[in-house]
Amino acid sequence: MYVSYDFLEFDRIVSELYPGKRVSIQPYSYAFELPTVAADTEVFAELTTNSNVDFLWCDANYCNTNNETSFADTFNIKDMGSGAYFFNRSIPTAGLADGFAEFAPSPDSGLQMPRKIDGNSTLQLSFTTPVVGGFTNFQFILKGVHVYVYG
Amino acid sequence: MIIQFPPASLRAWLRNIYGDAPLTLESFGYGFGFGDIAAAGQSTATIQILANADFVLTSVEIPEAAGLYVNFSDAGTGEQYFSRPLNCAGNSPVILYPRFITGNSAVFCTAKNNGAGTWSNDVVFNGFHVRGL
Repeated sequence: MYVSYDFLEFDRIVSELYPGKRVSIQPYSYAFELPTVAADTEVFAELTTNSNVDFLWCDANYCNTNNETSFADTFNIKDMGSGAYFFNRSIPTAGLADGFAEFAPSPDSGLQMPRKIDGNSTLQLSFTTPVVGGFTNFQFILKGVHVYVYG
Repeated sequence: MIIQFPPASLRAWLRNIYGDAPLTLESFGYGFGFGDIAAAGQSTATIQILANADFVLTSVEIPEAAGLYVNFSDAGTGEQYFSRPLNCAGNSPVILYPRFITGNSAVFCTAKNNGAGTWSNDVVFNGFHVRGL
C-alpha cells in the first residue's frame, strides 16, 4: 500500500485528537529487540512507551544482522493494558513494515492513518518466522511521533 | 511510508514558532565525524548547532549502515531521539516530522558497530538553518 502525506497532516490529526490543547510534536521511534530469533518459532518482546507523552504510530521497520527477510514472517502487537490486539490475527510483516531494500515489497508501506498509543502503554510484539536458521540482532521498529500535551 | 516536507508546509510550520518575523532559510547538513569504528566497537560524536541560527532536521543519512546501531540525544536535556539504539541495517532512521533544534545546541550520536568489518562513514543530519530577522 502506498502511503504518503504532508507532515502537516500530523498537526491536523493531533488538533482533532486534543481539541483546544497546546501540543508539541516530535519525531520518535520505539524498537522491540530480540537478540536471537530461532527458526520456525513464535517469539515475544515487550516495550513500554514513555509515561509523559502519547505516541502516534505510523510506520515500521524490521532489521537483523543476517540481512534476511521472508515474506512468510508474520507479526501482531498486543496492548498489555487492555488486552487488545492491533490486528485480528498475525499479518505478514512485509505487508506493513519496510525491510531490507532488496526484499521490501515497497518502501512506501505503512499505516494509512496513525494509531494513537497512550503514554506508559506496554506493548507486546509477537513475531513468527519460518526462516531456516533464524535471525540475530532482530529489531522491529515502530516509527512515529511523540505528542506532548500542555494545558 | 513517505512523509513529504514541502517548502510551503515548512514555512507555515515555522510561522507557529517565529510568528510573522521575516525568515531566512538555508539548506545545511551536519556530519558526525566518527573516523573508523572497528567491528564490535562503539564511538560517540558530537555536533554543535550554529549559535546564530536554529536548525530543522528533516532526514538522517547513514551510508553503508549494515550492523550499525545509532541513537541521538540532546546534550542539554538528555532527551533521546529513539527509545534505544536502532539497528540501521538497510535503512537510515526515518524522520516523520521535522525536528526543531535550537541554536547552540549540542547533539550526541552514539554508534555501535555490530557488523563484521570496520565502519568508516559519517552520520549526517540533513535539514536547514532558520534565522528570524
